[in-house]
Amino acid sequence: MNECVLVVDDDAEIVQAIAITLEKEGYRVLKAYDGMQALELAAERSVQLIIIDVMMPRLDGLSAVMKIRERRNLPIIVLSAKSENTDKILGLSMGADDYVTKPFHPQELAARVRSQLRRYTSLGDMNAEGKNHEIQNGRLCYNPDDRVLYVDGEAVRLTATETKIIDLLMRNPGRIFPAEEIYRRVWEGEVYAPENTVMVHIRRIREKIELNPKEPEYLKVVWGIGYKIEKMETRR
Amino acid sequence: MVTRLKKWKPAVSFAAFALGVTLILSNVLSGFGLLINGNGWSGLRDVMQGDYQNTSEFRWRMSSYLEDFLTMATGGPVGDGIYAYESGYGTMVYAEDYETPWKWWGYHTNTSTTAASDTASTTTDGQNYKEQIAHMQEVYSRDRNILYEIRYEGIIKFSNTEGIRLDAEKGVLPEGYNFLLHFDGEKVTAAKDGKEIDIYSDGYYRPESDWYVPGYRNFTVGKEAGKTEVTIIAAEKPLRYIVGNYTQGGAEQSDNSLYWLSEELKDRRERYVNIGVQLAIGILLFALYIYWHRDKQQADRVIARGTAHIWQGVKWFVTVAAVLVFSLSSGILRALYYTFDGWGMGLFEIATDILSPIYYNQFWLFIAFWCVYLLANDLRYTPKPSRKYLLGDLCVSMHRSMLKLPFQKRMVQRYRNLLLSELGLAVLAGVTCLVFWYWYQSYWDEWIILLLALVLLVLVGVGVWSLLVFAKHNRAAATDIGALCDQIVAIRNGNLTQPLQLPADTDLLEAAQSLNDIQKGMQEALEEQTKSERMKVELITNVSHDIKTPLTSIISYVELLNEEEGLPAHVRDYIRILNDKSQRLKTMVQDVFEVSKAAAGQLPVNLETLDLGKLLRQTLADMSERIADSPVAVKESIPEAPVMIVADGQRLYRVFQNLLQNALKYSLEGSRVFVTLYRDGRTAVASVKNTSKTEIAPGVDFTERFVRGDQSRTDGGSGLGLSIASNFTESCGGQFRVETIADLFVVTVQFPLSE
Repeated sequence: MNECVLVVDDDAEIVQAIAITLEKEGYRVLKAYDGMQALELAAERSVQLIIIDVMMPRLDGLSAVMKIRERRNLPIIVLSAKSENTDKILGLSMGADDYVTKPFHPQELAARVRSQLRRYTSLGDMNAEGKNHEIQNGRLCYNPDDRVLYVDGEAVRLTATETKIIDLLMRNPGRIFPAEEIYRRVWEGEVYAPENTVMVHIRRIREKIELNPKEPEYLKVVWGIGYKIEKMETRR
Repeated sequence: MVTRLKKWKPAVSFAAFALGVTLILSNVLSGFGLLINGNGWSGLRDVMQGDYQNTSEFRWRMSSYLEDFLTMATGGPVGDGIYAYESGYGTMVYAEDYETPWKWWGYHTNTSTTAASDTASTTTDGQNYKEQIAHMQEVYSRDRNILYEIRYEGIIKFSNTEGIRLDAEKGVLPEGYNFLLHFDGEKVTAAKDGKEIDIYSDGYYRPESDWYVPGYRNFTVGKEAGKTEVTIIAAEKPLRYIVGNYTQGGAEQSDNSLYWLSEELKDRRERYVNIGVQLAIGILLFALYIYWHRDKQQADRVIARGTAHIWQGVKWFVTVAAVLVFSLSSGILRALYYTFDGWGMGLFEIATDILSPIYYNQFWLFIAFWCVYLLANDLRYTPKPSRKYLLGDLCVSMHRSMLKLPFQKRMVQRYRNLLLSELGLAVLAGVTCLVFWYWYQSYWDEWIILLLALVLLVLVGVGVWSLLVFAKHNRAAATDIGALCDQIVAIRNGNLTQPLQLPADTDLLEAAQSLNDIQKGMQEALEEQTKSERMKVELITNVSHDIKTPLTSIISYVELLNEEEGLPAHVRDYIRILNDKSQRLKTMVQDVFEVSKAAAGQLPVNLETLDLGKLLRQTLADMSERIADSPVAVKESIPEAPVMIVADGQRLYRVFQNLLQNALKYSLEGSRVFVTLYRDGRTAVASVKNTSKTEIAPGVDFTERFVRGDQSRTDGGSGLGLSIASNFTESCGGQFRVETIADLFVVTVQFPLSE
């Protein structure tokens, strides 16, 4: 593991903190403090992933992302102080693979870096094998034949009940299942207080598949209606 | 000089017009009056003669003398002659002698014949021709304008020659006399200045024949007259003969017929000339006006500007009155009535009948003419909107004075006015009925009833009209009040942009304007508020963004510190505190940002239909671990059946999450938190009740930002929980209410049910 990560932020201390965390994880880190520098480094050096802040002098993060995207197809994580959905969507549509709002936890960022890199390196293999039955959804990949869930290409250990829930939800990504239905189909018994039971399992699964279980991206509660696995747009 | 002339041209042209019209009208009328009084066209022909002896009047006069003399000679009754002559005037009638047209008019149509027959009958009754004849002889003999010799069977019976010989055969006349008429018992011969005059023409008498004398083949004399011979000579220049008969009380005129005839002719000639000259001047002036008619129009405009200040009603009244007075006083209506009553008159007679009454009423004619002219001029040049109406002005001034009163007084006064006017009309109707009743009792005439009905009809009409006016005002006021009420409701519902448009003359103008001002003020205040709110949100957004960057560093380095190994326990403790507080700061920054957005109504919401019961259960399930860890128990009462509402699920989850967190945090240890949901009519009511750990300060608005029950800020919350819950609920369209009963803290969230 000697992937090179380019960290770009006009705040040197933040760059430093991220660099320390990532280096601990075993990555090589390149530092840049504005968009122009980032463009130069990305062109000159072999970079496998870029973490870039949005608001920077000289050239802002989003413009830099667009320019890099013109030549390179590598994972880019955007950092921003703006937490609103519209900003997030804008960032992703500009070509970013992930969007992390400030203030973030360095460990969470490290996990996202790991996830992105794993997908970047392993996904090519999976696509090449062309396993037709596998259901690909963002970072998740589910094989219904042997009932195995892969997160960033790595198989996740799930209990029998959790596997049943994942089986139901992954086969129908985006569809909302009320707790009663999940309960009926997973436990196949009389429905009693399903909300609590289902919620407990949902929380456990989140721990295993989400980068930040407190702010889940995949396994979501649709409040007042039910539960679903978010259907992700797959860029590549 | 030229400009001065230009300045005066309109006035001059108008004066030319006015004078021209007046001259033409009056002189045409005078001329016509003269014409019809002077035997029409033949009279005019007579006037044209320089010598009075060449006129038909003279011929008729001479014939008349002959007739009278023959009558006197034969001892018959003297005809109509005496009746007319005795006054001393000739057969010619002066217009001025008869003050009213009736007299003249009647005289010509009826009276003359009846008078003649009357005279005849009285004389027949009297049976005293001799006396009459003697009287005639006396009257005639004194008139030296004619000299006559009447022979009966060759003897002179009457004469006034006083010894002068009248030699008819020789044609030699005394000094001053030049006309001779001789009747030889069969035929008449006449000579003027020694020249024989053809009397009989073709020998047959016709109405248009010049001489009404015997001797025609169809006009012969009887046996008695055949014995008579009459010779008359007329003076060249007649004189007036007067006899001072003082024993009988004054000077007495003789017959003087010829004198008056010639005088009258002279006089008429002068009048005709006068009229002609005036007419010519009039026509000249009129022509001048036609040449300058543009300038005259300018003058008309100036006059119209002047008359425009007078009320239309007054102008019409004066004009109609003038025309009425003229037509009534001149009797033109009556003349017209008789004219078209099928009498079969000639054009001349019709013109006579119509024009003569006008002629005698020239004053009123001119008054009426100029009134009509001014009115027509005014109507032509004063456009409708700038006309002044008496009634309209009265209404406007009354309206204006009423507008000064407050609305309620105005309404009352309007009703009082109506009541008074109706009462007045009723009294008037009663009085009219009484008057007509007495009148009817004394006259017994049907048309009085008709007149009464007419008057009552007018009174009733006025009454109904004032009622209608009142109703119209009332309806307008009602419409305006309605509009005002609607506007008040609209303003309450938040319509602050549409001002109330009422007609300018409405009773509620002041109220409407005040309301519009209030609306405008509210709109401005609201805009001001929105603006300041937006600025606040912008400020908070910027500040929170600015805080986030250093916070990232803090969190990151705290994390790095945390990962250091071999740190003493107390340093670890410090790091833990740093970690906690930095996490809390992170939450606070996010909460402040969200609550300010929600408060400014800028929070995007994703509304969908959801089951509020399920949402509450999910929230409880989501927080089950924290609930289990807390020292309180949560009792839920949520119906199994779905309670569907429309809201943003994510936001609403935050609402109940915050409420439950608060409840867990601030509840008395060992107490119970009640989460309930029920339907109340068409509303879903969810509530969270808990018993407070500490005493709740009364009168605190807990939804205010940064408000907490204990007013201290040492515990974990940002102080924004309730504020976020309240704002999020309202952005989803629900109602949020906090109640405190002693230590019981009740939060109620209401949403309309969705079907």
